[in-house]
Amino acid sequence: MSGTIAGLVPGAMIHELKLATLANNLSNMGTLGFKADNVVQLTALPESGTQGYTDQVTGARLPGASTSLLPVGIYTDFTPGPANTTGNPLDLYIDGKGFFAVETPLGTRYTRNGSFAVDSEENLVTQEGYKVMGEGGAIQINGKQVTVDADGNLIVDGAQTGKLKIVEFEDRNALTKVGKNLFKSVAGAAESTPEEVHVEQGAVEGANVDAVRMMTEMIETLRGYESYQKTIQTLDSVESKAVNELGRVRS
Amino acid sequence: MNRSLSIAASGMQAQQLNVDVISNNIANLNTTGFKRGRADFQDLIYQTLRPAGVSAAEGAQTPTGIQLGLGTMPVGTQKIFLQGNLEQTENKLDMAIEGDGFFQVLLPNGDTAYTRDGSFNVDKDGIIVNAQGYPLEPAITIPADSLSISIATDGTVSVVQEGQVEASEIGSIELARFVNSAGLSSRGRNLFLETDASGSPTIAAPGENGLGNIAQGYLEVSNVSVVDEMVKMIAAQRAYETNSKAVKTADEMLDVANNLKR
Repeated sequence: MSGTIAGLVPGAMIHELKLATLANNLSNMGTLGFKADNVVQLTALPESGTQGYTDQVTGARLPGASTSLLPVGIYTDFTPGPANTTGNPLDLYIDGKGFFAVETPLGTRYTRNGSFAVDSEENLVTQEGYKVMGEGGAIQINGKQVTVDADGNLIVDGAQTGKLKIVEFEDRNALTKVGKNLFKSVAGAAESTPEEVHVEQGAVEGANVDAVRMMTEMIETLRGYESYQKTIQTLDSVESKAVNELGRVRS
Repeated sequence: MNRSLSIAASGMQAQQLNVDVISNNIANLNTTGFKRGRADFQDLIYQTLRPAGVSAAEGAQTPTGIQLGLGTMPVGTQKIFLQGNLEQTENKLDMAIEGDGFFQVLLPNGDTAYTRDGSFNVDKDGIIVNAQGYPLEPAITIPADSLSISIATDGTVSVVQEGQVEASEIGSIELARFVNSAGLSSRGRNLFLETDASGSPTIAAPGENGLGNIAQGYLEVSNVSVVDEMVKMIAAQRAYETNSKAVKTADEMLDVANNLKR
């Protein structure tokens, strides 16, 4: 009886998760190098039993549905964002595949946000102050004229001072977001150098969030959520009839 | 649910800041030596609801996890120190820097401030001062009987005094250069102050150590481009609007949930 209503709860929760993801995409429309997330509803994951799920921590079989096991996946859409020209010589845009490697206190992280600066020790850094990695370590910039060629070579006042380290992953699903425009690779992910690197100077990559698609998905999410409400209300009224009217003795 | 509300609110706040920065750029369209700003944003931390690669069923692994982003936040408003256009003026004490570097002026509290605004004048004692009356560093005094002033590209100031044919050197202008000029703090009134992020200045004669040359009789106009700022403003306004729609949707969904129980 109430099991039928309980069975609808995960569906409604997926819609809440969808809206949160859409809201996150929209709030990051101004974040450079941001990659939108998509909630993909999967057919319920095959479970060996007919009902219930396995708890990830204890391994016990539990009845019902769990939030952590909603039949959804959140995929990051790695389509390149638009190149916004800024004219700033330390703004870099990767046309095509690849990520900039940056050194953070927690290890190497990857980003498509090429809005860089120079710190007081003459290192090329991100806006957060993390060092941008070159093929031979941190990149030093001290000069008047900074040029970055298409291959990612940094030329300061006519002399080459380094080459940007640009990496690509065979399986981009191996990248997880850690915030601050950075991605982290899972242990053991195969890192490679893209065959063709094309770095554009004086441009940054905007977010790849498509506002129109987000709006339509938001409407869809709201209406989908509403239909769960209606179904729950219908089931509730059926049960109400069963409880209150079936057994009524008419006088 | 409340997640969506606060996530969308962070987006609205970010766009608000973006519009603030753009408005300040537009307001300073005619400010000599003004450098435009840009607000940079980053995504907030992600809440991992399910890590990628956990086994969902016997032998099967989920290809992706569930990671939920929690919104956006500003990372900085950086100044873009691109050269502004040079505008010719008739004033002998107007100077523009062609290239990198800042003029140094002495504040009343004894600190040195840095500026790209080269509209200088002479005070009652003949000292070269900027528009606010702060003396140029190192101080240069123009003799009262000077007939003409000339400033060379390397900063040498010479005057021709009454009764003399040849010009005599009375001082030279020095410029300051920062490794990370974007790290300077804006003090307002076209002045910048040194910070830990900017590093200490390298002081040298114009044209040396990567510093630009001085152009006498020119002023550097603001490097703001109206068209660029307008386009950015439209984009920011629309992004603000879309985020407000997300707030509205979250609100409607909460309403739906509240109405489950009749």
